[in-house]
Amino acid sequence: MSKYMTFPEVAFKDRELLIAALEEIGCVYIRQGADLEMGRYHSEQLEQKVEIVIPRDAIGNSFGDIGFARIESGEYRPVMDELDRSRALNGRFIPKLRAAYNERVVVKVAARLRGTIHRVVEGGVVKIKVRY
Amino acid sequence: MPEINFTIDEQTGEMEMKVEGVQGPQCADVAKIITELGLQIDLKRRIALIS
Repeated sequence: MSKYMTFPEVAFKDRELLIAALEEIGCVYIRQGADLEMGRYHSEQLEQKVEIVIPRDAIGNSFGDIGFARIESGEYRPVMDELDRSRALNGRFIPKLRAAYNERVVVKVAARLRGTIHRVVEGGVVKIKVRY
Repeated sequence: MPEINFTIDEQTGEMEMKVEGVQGPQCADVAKIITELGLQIDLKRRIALIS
């Protein structure tokens, strides 16, 4: 059944890094603001207010928008139609976003520590060494 | 020279890290920077501290 769901196990703390990660994985149109209403394309999709919206059909999310709601801790949690979970980026939306976000965390950590970065990919694992 | 080794699993997007060559309090400083940026891991469970 089509309905919006949140992902309590996934949270992104830094909005700037989140937007950059979304752009990297192919989200071209990103709406930002406060209390943005996600589109309701099916009767089961209840009202959702979020701070970031990826429009429907942007990355294979044919059932609804993808949103990010800011929670009390200041983190952003994804909200998307449960049927889009297996469709957006061929079901790889959350893993790809987490990987892109985490890579940006590493770059920022390296900058804060004034360190150097060495990155390799081996067997589906990105290995990044930061020396400082 | 101190170093931090990050590994990101492309299947899940999860990241782990290991800090090497850093003494206790400095290691905590590194962990603080990373948690400020929202590392997607359980730091208490997964950080390996090697001095």
